[in-house]
Order: sequence, then C-alpha cells, then structure tokens
Amino acid sequence: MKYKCLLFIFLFGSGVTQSKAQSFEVEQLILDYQKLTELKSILSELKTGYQLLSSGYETIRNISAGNFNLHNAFLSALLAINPAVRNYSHVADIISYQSSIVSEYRSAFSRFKQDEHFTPDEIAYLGTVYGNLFNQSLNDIINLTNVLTANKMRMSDEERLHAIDGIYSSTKNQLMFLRSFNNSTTLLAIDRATAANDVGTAMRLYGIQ
Amino acid sequence: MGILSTISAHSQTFDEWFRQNKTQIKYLTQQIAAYELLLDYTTNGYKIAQTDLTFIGAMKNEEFDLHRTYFNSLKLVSTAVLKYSRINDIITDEHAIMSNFKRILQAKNMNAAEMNYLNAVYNKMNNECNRSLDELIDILTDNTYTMKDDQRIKRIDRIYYDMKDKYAFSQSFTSEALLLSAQRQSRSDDINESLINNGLQ
Repeated sequence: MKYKCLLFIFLFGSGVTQSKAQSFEVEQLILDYQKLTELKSILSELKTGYQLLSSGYETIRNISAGNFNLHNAFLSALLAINPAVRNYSHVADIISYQSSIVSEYRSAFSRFKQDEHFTPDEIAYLGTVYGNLFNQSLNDIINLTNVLTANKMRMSDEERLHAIDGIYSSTKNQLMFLRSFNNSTTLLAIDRATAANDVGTAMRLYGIQ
Repeated sequence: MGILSTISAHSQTFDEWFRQNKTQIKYLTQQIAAYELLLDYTTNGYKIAQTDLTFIGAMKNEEFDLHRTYFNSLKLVSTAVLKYSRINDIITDEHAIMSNFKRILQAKNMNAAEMNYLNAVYNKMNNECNRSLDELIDILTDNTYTMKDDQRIKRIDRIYYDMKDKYAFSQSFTSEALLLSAQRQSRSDDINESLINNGLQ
C-alpha cells in the first residue's frame, strides 16, 4: 500500500504530463521500494528468528546445565559422609568394643604370661591367637575409617550403614571370642592350679615332701 | 543495472540489449516475487525450528523435573513407609519391654545386690531401646538419610527383629526374676506357717 501512496504523491508532485521515461523511472522506483520493503521484512524475520533460536538454545542449555548439576550433586554426595551416618550408634559401639578388645587381651595375656602353669609353647600359642585377633580388629578399624572418610569410597547412605553393620558384627564376634577364649584359658589355669595344689597336699599328707 | 547483472551474470540476452526498461521492470517484479518466496521460507523455517526447539526444551525440562523429583524423593520419607506396620510393632514391643522391667523392679524378696543387678540390666535395656527408637526416628525423618523406600523398609525390619530379640530376652529374664521372687515368697510363707503351726510365733 505504501508504494501506492508514494506513487500518488509522485504523480501530483511531478505534474500531469509525464514523459515515457519518467513513467519508467516511477515504476522502477516503486519496484525498488517494494524490493527494499521485502528485504527489510526478511531481515527482521531473520533477526527475530535468530533471537528465538538463541533464546531457545539458551533455555535448553540452562536446563541441561541444571540437570548436570543435579547429577553432579548427587554423585558428589555419594563421596561425602552424611552426618547421620557418622553419628550412627553402631559406630560408637565398634570403637568401644575395639578398645575393650585391646585392653582385655593385654591384661589377660600378661596374666597368662606370669602364670607358672602354662608352658612356653602354650604362651606362644596364646600370643599367636591374640596377634591374629589384634590384626583382625585393626583391619576392622581401617575399614571403618575408610567408610567414614569422605572422598575415599563412592557409597550411598544405606551402603555405608550396611558396611558399618558388617564391621559391628565382626567386632562384636571378636570381643565375644576373646572373652570366651580368656574364660576357658583362665579355667584351665585354675584347673591346673587346683590339681597342683591337690598333688602338693597329698604329698604333704603322705610325708613325701 | 548492478542488480541486473547479478541476476544473469553470464551473458546479456536480446531483451536486455534492446528493451532495457521493460526487461528491468520484469526482472524487478521477478526479484520481488523471489523475495516474497524467500520471506515465506524463512518464516516457515524458523517456525519449524521454534516448534522443534520448544519440543526439545519441554522434553529436557520434563527430564530435569523427573530427575529432580527422584533425587529429592530419596531425602523424603514416603507415607507408605511411615505407615509400615512394623513401626507400630516396634513401639508396642518397646512398651512391653519397659512394663516387664517395671514389674521386676518392684519384685519383693530381693536383696540389695540383686536389686542393683536388676536395675543395671534395666538401665542397659532402656538405653538399648532408646537407641533403637532413635535409629527408627532417623530413618523416618525427612532429610536425614538419602535412601530409597526399600532401604528404609529394610532398616525398619532390622530394628524390628532387634526389638523382638530384646522383647524375648525381657520376657525370659523377667519371668525368671518373678519366679524367683515368688518361690522365695512361698518358702517364707511356708516357714511362717510352720512357725505358727508349731506355736513358735
């Protein structure tokens, strides 16, 4: 429509009589103008199009980044230790059992070493048993430390709790074994002491000693 | 003329030589038509790109929401887990254990050392029960553990069996203690009776 207006103005502005050349120029001008308008609208279409694509890509990029961050946070959290796991009651139990194991085996072993009713071979055997027990409990401590140290293992809360439960029952077994072992060894020592005592009394009664 | 030569750069036709004006108008008209077509294609092309991008964006967004919901759900305790029947069983057992022990703490015919022992066992049991309940609360509280429902259920099951063990122990322990108390009572009753019968009291 614009170019028709233009034509109108042009016609009146240039007078009524027009040469053939002038009419050609007018027509060409109109067409040129029309071409320009077309180009302009193509340009603006291109511009809005690119803006659209750019904002669309931006949105998708942001969503992807958000998704990545979400996964990143989740996977990183698997490397970190949840405070609830650190405060899990069995952790304290394991540590107190471990310290009981060490102190009980030390005091029992030193008692047995001073007991005259055990032969050196037997003492060596006791030493081996206690040594194995101590190594096992050391392994448990190392495992527990690994489970409770950030960035060492990629584990979920449940996996960590499960691992702690396993260490807990292993440590508990060790302590129970240690106590029953100490008991039976003590009983043996008492038996032998009583037997030796009986023999001594009998000897004295028979006047042999 | 410059535009013209770009339209047909190879050679000039008869029309271009001898009917310049008319030909130029013709070319211009053709160009405008071509531009209109180009505009049309551009608009349509971008429309397609926009539709597809919107689609991809919606998909991505949906996926993102899906993942976010999933990860968030791991921190939350579902109502199904909260309604798990064994939670109630655990609490009922805990109450039963405590009332069992309350009964033996009032048992008669026990000396001071025995009462101390009973008290010590009661305290230990009380602590253990409280720890189990704390553990249960941790599992049933949002944002404490990052766990799936089945993992929470398994944890609750563990506490449940643990509490059942404690309950069984408390049953046998308290019944033994009460039996002892009852035996002593009946013996002292017997003695009293025979004292009375024999005129000694």
